[in-house]
Amino acid sequence: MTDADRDDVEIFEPRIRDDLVEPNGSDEIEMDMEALAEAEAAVAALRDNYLVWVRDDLAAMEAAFGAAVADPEADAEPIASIGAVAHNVKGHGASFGYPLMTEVGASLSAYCRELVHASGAQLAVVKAHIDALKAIIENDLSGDGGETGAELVTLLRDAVASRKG
Amino acid sequence: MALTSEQFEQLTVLIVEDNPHTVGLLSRILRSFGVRTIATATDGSDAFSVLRARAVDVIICDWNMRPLDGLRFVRLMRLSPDSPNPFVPIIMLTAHAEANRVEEARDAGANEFLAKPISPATLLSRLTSVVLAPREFIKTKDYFGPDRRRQNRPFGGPERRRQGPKEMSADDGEASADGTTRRTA
Repeated sequence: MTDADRDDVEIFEPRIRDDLVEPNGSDEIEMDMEALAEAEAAVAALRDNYLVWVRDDLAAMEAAFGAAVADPEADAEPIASIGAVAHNVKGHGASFGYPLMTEVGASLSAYCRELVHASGAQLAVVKAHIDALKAIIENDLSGDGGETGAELVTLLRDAVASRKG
Repeated sequence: MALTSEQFEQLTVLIVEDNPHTVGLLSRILRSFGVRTIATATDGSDAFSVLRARAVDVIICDWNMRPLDGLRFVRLMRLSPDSPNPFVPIIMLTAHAEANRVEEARDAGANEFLAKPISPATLLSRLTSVVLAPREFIKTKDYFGPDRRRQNRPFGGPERRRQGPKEMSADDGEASADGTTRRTA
């Protein structure tokens, strides 16, 4: 870019609300650790709610899977629907203490994005993901899920690698 | 300095998100921090309707929404002549955390990026940053939004500022009703 192409750069300085500044606080930006602890406890208290709505998500995925199997010529929409729900599962799991849900949800979402129409083998990979998500919830595999969780993730990773969309 | 619960009580936060569970989670976390006034909208168009009716201090906006998604919403907030407040801090929220997504959000004019799954710690960090350490807004031929070089990332283009930013007093520049002071570099 030459000087002739340069435009004036305008700079605007937004003011923070004066009533929000701690008058005697330090200049360094800090986090309120008490507020943080309270928020983390509040999220933990939402865990039972999460388990209800994630079961609804799993039911929706199973219904879409059934539609994909029932009509292979029109499986693009149900597969996209499974991917969309998996994207939501990915976005929520770890917030509520189920990082495996986030990991498996991410894998399923990415896998579905690559599929337009699925072969039987590819549908089997989708099904394996849905079954894994169900197993995580039914067996309460919170945190890293221990050995079972590790095995689930490895199995899915191998299945995806062998049946790339 | 930190945002205390008393200060959080004074903030109005707009959540723009079509997933009710995410809205519920964000609301619960914000209320735990002390936020009392939370508005919601289900997509960018709905958010504009909310913003025409009330002022907000911070917007938390999801990327994936229809009909008006988060990225287009941020661009319209920054660039549209009808924008209710082009300077409002916007935190972009998404389960897509790839580097190119972060750059897209930044280049659209988002102040901060928050990847899902949400944690209270990262949300608190983003809120504290946008409220207590607001960045300068930059207007060029191609961009309007928060200074994208806050992190001192290497900038590949020419230095177009003729002088560095300076502290503004009440008598400098052109004060405007939206609480900003404007000058030309």
